[in-house]
Amino acid sequence: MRPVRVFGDGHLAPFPYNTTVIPHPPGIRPAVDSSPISLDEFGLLPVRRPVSVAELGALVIEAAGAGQGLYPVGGRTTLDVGLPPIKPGFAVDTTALDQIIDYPARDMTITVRAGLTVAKLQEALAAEGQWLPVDVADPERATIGGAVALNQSGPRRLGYGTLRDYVIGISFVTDEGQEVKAGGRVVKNVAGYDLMKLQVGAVGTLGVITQLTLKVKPRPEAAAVVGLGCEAESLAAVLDLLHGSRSRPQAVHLTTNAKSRGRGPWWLDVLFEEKKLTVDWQVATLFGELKGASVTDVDHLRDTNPTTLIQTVTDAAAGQLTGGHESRFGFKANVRPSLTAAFCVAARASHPDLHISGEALNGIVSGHVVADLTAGDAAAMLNMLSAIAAEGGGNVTVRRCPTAWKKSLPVWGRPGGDRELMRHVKRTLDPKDVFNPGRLFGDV
Amino acid sequence: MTTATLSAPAPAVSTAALVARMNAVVGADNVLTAAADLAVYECDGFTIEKHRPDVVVFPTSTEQIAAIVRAANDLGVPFLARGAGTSLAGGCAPIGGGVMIATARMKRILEVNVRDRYAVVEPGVVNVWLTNALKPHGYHYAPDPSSQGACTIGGNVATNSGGPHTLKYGVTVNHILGVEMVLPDGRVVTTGGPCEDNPGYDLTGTIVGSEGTFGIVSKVWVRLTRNPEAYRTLLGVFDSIDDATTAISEIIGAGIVPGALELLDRTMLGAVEAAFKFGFPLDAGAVLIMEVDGLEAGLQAEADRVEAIALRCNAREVRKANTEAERMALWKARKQAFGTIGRLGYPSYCTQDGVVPRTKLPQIMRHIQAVAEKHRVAVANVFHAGDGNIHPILMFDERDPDQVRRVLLASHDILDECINLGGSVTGEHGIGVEKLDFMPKLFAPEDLAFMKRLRAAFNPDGRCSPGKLFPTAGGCAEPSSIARLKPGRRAAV
Ligand SMILES: Cc1cc2nc3c(=O)[nH]c(=O)nc-3n(C[C@H](O)[C@H](O)[C@H](O)COP(=O)(O)OP(=O)(O)OC[C@H]3O[C@@H](n4cnc5c(N)ncnc54)[C@H](O)[C@@H]3O)c2cc1C
Ligand SMILES: Cc1cc2nc3c(=O)[nH]c(=O)nc-3n(C[C@H](O)[C@H](O)[C@H](O)COP(=O)(O)OP(=O)(O)OC[C@H]3O[C@@H](n4cnc5c(N)ncnc54)[C@H](O)[C@@H]3O)c2cc1C
Repeated sequence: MRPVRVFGDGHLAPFPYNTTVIPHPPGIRPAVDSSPISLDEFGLLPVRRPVSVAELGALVIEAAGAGQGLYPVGGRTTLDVGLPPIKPGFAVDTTALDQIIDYPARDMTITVRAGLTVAKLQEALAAEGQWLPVDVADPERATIGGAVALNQSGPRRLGYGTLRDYVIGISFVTDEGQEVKAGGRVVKNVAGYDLMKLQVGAVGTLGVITQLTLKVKPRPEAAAVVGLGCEAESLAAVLDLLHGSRSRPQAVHLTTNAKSRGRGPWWLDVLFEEKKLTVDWQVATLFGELKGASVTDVDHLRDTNPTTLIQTVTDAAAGQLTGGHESRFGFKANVRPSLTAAFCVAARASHPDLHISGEALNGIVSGHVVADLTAGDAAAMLNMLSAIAAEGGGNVTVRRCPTAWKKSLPVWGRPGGDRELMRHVKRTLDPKDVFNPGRLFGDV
Repeated sequence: MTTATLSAPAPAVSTAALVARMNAVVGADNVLTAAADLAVYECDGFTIEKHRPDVVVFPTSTEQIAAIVRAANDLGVPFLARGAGTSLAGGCAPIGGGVMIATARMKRILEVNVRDRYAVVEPGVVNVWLTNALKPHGYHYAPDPSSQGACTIGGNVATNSGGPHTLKYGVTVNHILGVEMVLPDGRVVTTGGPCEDNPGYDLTGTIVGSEGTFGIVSKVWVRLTRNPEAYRTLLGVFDSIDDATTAISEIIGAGIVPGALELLDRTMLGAVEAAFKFGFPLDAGAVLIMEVDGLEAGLQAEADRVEAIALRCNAREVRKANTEAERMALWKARKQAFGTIGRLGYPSYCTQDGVVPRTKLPQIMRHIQAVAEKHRVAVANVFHAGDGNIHPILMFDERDPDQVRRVLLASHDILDECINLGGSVTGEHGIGVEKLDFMPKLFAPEDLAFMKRLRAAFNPDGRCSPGKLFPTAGGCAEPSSIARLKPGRRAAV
């Protein structure tokens, strides 16, 4: 018998996949806080927590009918990203939709509900020696749906790519309250439009993601980290060297050096994940290549657990700085890889308390300021930095700041020539502006 | 809810007026209008459906494309892009006639930037030209369709092409950083570019694979990939397809990510051997090309593991390509396999493109065998086995209507089974016009309705490449448009 799936309206349609629902492991579910939340100080929004897709569909119809906004929330780790809401309505908590639907490990794919936490997802995969090689901050709380909505990534994007490379199937509830799907459960598939790409990074403005099928990878056999410090003048040359190195790192993470380390103002963590022999060869090769380079210190960080290190730097890039410091103002820049050094050095010179963290060979740089800073300071910093980024076609977006500043800061960066088409896509697919109204484009 | 017009509006103007407008944009030298010239463009690699364009134009710049599109809009005629015309799904079929915009004269590589790992190309650049241009830098463009000697980057972007090495390196969309596109209303938009993570929607990723229905791509930013330092290319010789497909699951299940895993069955080997004299064992049930690549350090150990797994799965022998020349010869035989089918003595053949989860490969291959026997159709297999992407080649004589009927039945039977096994009806060739009838089998009406809304955001009048991807209004009950037509010679190469 062909399995069937039930749509929001009770309509039965053939579902081409074998669906086995893996029940929850017994244990305690995290306590759910269902008290109203405030997004960017926009009044209080009641929180609804649907336990089925049908219920979620009904909520969408309710919001659309009442001319209200629906604000999806997952692990609530990043709710301050984007512009403030512009419509009253309610938040929809996805965390009750957290089942693992199907995990055919030998096919290296997994299908899960979007409210599953990233940590739970990784735990299921680890049991089969597999993983999703995408770094997400605060994985115990962050949901895979939220990570996809924001296109989260971390240091490993150099070697493994980003979520857009792993989402091969998707379901989401549309503005009409229906669950719609695209893609499938096979690693190669070009049937129909790629709605996966449309939803990755759409910040929940085109529907509520309910289900994801991900391509996964075998866990690497071994890992090692080489750390090195350098002066501002030699940063560009060191990055060029790493770009051309015979070794092929999975991550090259750049940070402004913590004072405690006391070596050069810039610090690079170079991660290798591969077969044991390959890792060892790469560490030795890189050491050789660095002889004579302008580095202040090179160290094979034998005592460092690479996974812990990557998680720490991912959290820091998200604004959770070590020592419990909270970022007051944070940005994310996307620049040309070859401009990364110039960009970072200029950023650092612009403020004494700016913590910089970047994927140096990808040109993805985050900055966070813990200390006091005025809106004017922030605007000046963004202005200077976005001019550098723009030279190579890049941009700077604001990831964190006091709500009041969002009126004047370019939260989503300088609009490019594609912004109008994006707005048009939003207007076409969500004409009543139900989903996260205001948060990506302000008023459409 | 708005959905775009599905069948093209009939041209409301005379061909003469259309030609005059086109001549004004690109000059008469870059316009084809004679019936004999147009005949060449009435189909692509999918020869079953033929539609003649009213005019074929060869622009040389984005501005010209935009002007052509605006003129087509003024006159209310449909238009579509054509690269090399190697599509196997009828993506280039000009339904309703109109203007065919051929990208053949936009073939410049505009920029290669190795430090920032991208290149900018015009849409008519042939896939392999880019890889050849990158050779001195030690980089390449990773998606390598078997047709790479002919197909264009613009066509690859439109169809989201794959190839043998996409198993490890990903398909086209994983390597496209940005596009410049002429929208169906004539405006020009640039999405993405040399920097990763452009803020806002990933329009680039959404455009890739849209089969030319969102606009005419006029420039592409592609990602460059460093060449692997070393390869180990093995040829596993198996007595049965079952053993070969089991070996695939075992290799991948062991946590190895090979660069490529390609299967050729006995029938295919016969044809390839006749053409290339590579020395394939003609009595083998199947061979597997198993390639691992990466840094030299540790690679031999990985190749040894692959060999051991193949032997454990009853490979009777595992051969090795000992030199780069041997490796290239093997890949040449693989990539040109389709071209050797003629040696098997059938005047026509049709290549199917289905996908199953790779652990279901033994089942689908048995099913193909059974279907071939049931419908009395000769089938050869050569495919991207590591991805579960099958390409059964069904051979026939198009002059015999009964054979044609049986080939179509067999094709549909195979694709239906792909769906049953949790897969898809196309891994890389696209829906085009060929697989319209399968869309309602894969997707629910609301899924298709949403996709049409997305199309309407780009292509509200449906004038850009009409009649593709979605069955006509109502959808499901539509009788097969393919079954009504007669397959032509060498249907779907
Ligand atoms: C300032 C800041 C910057 C950060 N930068 C990074 C970074 O660069 N790299 C990194 O790895 N992590 C980063 N993070 C952390 C990361 O964003 C979160 O760990 C996680 O990805 C979000 O998941 P969540 O479940 O907590 O989502 P939430 O915080 O609950 O929601 C985030 C957004 O996604 C939407 N959303 C949530 N679920 C859905 C759904 N099912 N469907 C549709 N939309 C949905 C919400 O409406 C909201 O707009 C950052 C965090 C902060 C505070
Ligand atoms: C022998 C053979 C082997 C093949 N092997 C493979 C393989 O291994 N993997 C694979 O994926 N495919 C394969 N194919 C199929 C085909 O080569 C690919 O689909 C290829 O990408 C088509 O490129 P093209 O330039 O020929 O495009 P065309 O056939 O000219 O066009 C294909 C589609 O793209 C659209 N298009 C073309 N250019 C543009 C543009 N500039 N803007 C917008 N839309 C555009 C067209 O309208 C059409 O819908 C093979 C085909 C053959 C004949």
